[in-house]
Amino acid sequence: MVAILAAVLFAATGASRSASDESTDPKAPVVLLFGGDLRGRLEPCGCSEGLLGGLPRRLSYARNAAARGSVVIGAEVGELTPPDRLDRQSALQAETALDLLAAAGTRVLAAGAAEWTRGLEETALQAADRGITLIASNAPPGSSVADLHTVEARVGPRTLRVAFAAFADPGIFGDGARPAGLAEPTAALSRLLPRLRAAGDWRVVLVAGSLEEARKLAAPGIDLIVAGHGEDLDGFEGERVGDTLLVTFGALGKALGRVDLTFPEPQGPPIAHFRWVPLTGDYKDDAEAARALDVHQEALAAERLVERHPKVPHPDGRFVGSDACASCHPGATKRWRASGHARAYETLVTARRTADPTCVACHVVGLDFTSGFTDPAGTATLKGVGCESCHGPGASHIAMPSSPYGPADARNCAQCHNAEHDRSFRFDEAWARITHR
Amino acid sequence: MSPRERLGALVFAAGAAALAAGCQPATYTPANSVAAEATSPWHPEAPRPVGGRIVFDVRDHDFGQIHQGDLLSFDFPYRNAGDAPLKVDRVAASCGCTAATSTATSLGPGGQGAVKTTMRTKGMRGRVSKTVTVYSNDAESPRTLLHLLATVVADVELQPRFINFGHVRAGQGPTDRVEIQVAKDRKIQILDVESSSPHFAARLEESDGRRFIVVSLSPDTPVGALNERVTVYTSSKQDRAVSLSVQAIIQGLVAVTPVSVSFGAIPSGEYRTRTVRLQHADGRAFQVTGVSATHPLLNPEARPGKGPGQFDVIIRTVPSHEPARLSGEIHVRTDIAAQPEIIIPVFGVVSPPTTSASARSPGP
Repeated sequence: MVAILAAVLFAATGASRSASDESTDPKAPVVLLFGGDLRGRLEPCGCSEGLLGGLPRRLSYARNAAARGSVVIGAEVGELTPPDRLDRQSALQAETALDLLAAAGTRVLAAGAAEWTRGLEETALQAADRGITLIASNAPPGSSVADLHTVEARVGPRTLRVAFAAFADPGIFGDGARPAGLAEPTAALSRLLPRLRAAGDWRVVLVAGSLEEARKLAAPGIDLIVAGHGEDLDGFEGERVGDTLLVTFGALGKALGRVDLTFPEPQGPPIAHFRWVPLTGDYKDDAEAARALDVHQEALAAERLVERHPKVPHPDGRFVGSDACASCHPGATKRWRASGHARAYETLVTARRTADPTCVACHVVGLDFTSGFTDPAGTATLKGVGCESCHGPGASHIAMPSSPYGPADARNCAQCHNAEHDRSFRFDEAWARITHR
Repeated sequence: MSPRERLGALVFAAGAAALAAGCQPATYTPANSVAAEATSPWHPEAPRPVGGRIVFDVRDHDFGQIHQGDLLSFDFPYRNAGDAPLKVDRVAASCGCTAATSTATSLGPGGQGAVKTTMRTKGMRGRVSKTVTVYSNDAESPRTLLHLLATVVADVELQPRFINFGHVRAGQGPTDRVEIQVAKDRKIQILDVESSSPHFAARLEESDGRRFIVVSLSPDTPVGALNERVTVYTSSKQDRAVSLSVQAIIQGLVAVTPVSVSFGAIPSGEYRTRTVRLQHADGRAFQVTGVSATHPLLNPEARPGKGPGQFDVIIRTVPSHEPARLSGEIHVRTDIAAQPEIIIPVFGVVSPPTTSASARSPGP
C-alpha cells in the first residue's frame, strides 16, 4: 500500500492574491487546479468592472502555470450548467465549458447534479472527446461511467500517479429529485477505498457537495478532498481532517483552488500547498477562450434561443412597450429616453451578446413572458429597459388609468443590479439619476 | 515577514498528525487552528505583544424562519480588546445576496464598532448559511468569520421545483407530479394552473390533504428537446405566479446521445472529433446503412458500439486553413422501418489562429 502522506504544508499567502503571485511563487513540479459549480457562467457579466471568474481568465492562469514548467492537472467538480435546466442553452454551455476546461488542462470531471440530470452517458461521451474523464463513484453498480481515474505526472525521474474518485452528495438534488441508485458517498467510498489507494500515489476525492458533507469522507489514505459546492470564503486556507487536507474554491467559477505538489525527497511523498486563487481582472482573458465564447454566441444565435425562450403569461397582464406611455407621461418619457436604461439593448449589440438569453433578460422588457420581448424587429418597442421593466405590464393601466399601477422600488433594481452583475451599484445614487415623478 | 506570513509558513507533519487525529472544527482563522497555535511564534507560553485585537461577542446569528424575499439585517458588535489601534481593513460577504460594512475602519483600545449586515433572501429556500469575513490587523485573528443563518420559507413552494422526464421514447406519455407547499401561517389559495405547451397537460390534484400539480406528457410530442413551463397562479401577493420547469428529451426508437453536436471554435489547420451514440431502445440489433454530412468539412463514420443495439457515430472535422462555419447536419440511415433516418445537427466555426503562443489543442 502506498505510504500515507508524510507531510502537508498549508501555505497562507496573505490577503493579496494577484497575478503577481503566480509569477513570483516558487515553481511547483505539479500544480493541481480545481474548479466547479460553474452553473453555465462561462464568463462574468460584462456590465460591471471588478467581477471575478470566467473561463478565459482560468485558461490564461492554467497556461501561465504550464508555461513556467509545472505539470498542470485540472479537475472540475460538477455543475457545468444549472442543475435544474436541460435546455439547449445549457447544453451548449456544457460543450463550450468542456472545450475550455480541456484547454486549461482539466483531466477529470466529477458528476454533480447537473451531469446526473442531463444524463451521465451524454456528459461522459462529450468529456471523453475532449480528453476528460467523467467520474461518478457513487453511481449504481453496472454504470458505464468511471468510478475512479488515475492521471500520471512525470516529475523528474519518477512518475506520480494521482488517483481521483468523485461523489455526488444526495443532498444537492433536492427533495424528490435524487437519482435512482445513487449510493450514499460514505458507503460507496468505503467500498472503493482499497482500489483508490492502489490506483494512486496521491489520492484525491472530489465531492459535488458542501464542505460539511465533504468533511465526512476524510479517511486514512485520502490525501485531499475537494468540496465543489463551497461558499466564497476568500482566502480560505484549507482544513486538516486527520491526515487529509480539505479544500474548496467557492461558487460560479470565481476562484480556483490550487494545490502545489513539491517533492523534498526525489522518491518521497509530496508536500501539498493549498491556495485560494480569485480570478481577478489581473489575469488577462486568453485569446483562444475569448474566441470560443464568441463562437458560443454564434451557436446560440444559430439556434435562435432568444426567440425560442420559454414564456409564461404575466399575472398582471400584457406588455405594451414604452412608446405607449409617452402621450400621458411626456416628462418621464423624456427623462427615460436620456437614460442608460433606454439604450440597454444597444450595449448588448456592442458587446455581441444579443443571442444570449441570460444577458438579454436584463436588457429588454419581459423576456420571460408571452407578451414580452421576442426579437428586435418584432418587438422593437420592448428593446431596452423600459417603463414596464420596473412598473410591470401596462395594458391594464392604459385601459383604466385610474387603477393603481406599478410602484417601483429597490427590489425592481436588484433583479439585474445585483452583486453578480453590478458590484458598484448604489441604490440611492442610481435612484436619484432615474427618478421621474 | 508579516505575522500572517509567519503563520502561513507552518509545516504540519501529518505523519505526526497524531497531534490532531480526527476532525478539526470548521473554523478557518489561524487563531482557531490547533496546529497553527502549536507552531505559532506567538505560542501561549511565550511573551507576545497584543496589538489590536478584534473581539466579537456573537459570531453567528440565526434569523430563524423567515419568508422568502424578506430583507434581513443584523449588526455584529465588536470591540478592540487590544492595547493598540485596531484596523478593520475589509469586510467581505460570501454571496452577492449579502452586504456587509464596518462602522469603523480604525478603533483605539477599548473602542467599539459593529459589522452591519443585510441579507436579501429572494430566490433562497430552505436552510441557508452565508458567511461574512472581517479582515483586520489582529495578529491572532486577521480573518474572522461571521455567519448569518436562516430558514427561508416561500409563500408557495414546489417540491421539487422542476420535472425532468429525462429521455422519453416517442409515443409514450409519462406522468409526474410535484407537491405545492404553502406556508403554514399564510392563507393562500391555489387559483389555476396553466401549461405553456400543447405537448403536455397540467392539472391540480389533492391527495391526503396535500396538493399536487400533475403533468402528463402527450404521446404525440415530437422527437427533440422539450423545455417548457407550467405556471401556478395563487392568491399570494408575493408568489402570484409560480413557475415549474418541465423538461424532456423525446427520443425515437433509436436514442441519440447527445442530440446535437458543437465543435466550438476550431483553430485553423486543426481538427476535432465528436461522438454520438445511437442506442436501440429495446437493445435490438440494427444496421446503419449509410452516413453522410451536409457540409464538406464534416466527415462522419458509424461504428458498432460495445453494447447490443448500439452504434457510435464518429464525426471528425476536416482540417481547414480557411475560416469556415460548420453549420450542418449528419444524416444516419438505418434499416429500421420506423426510423429510417436520424438527423444530428452540428455547429462549429473554423477560426483564424489566436495570438496565444502556448495554446494547447483541446482535442481531438
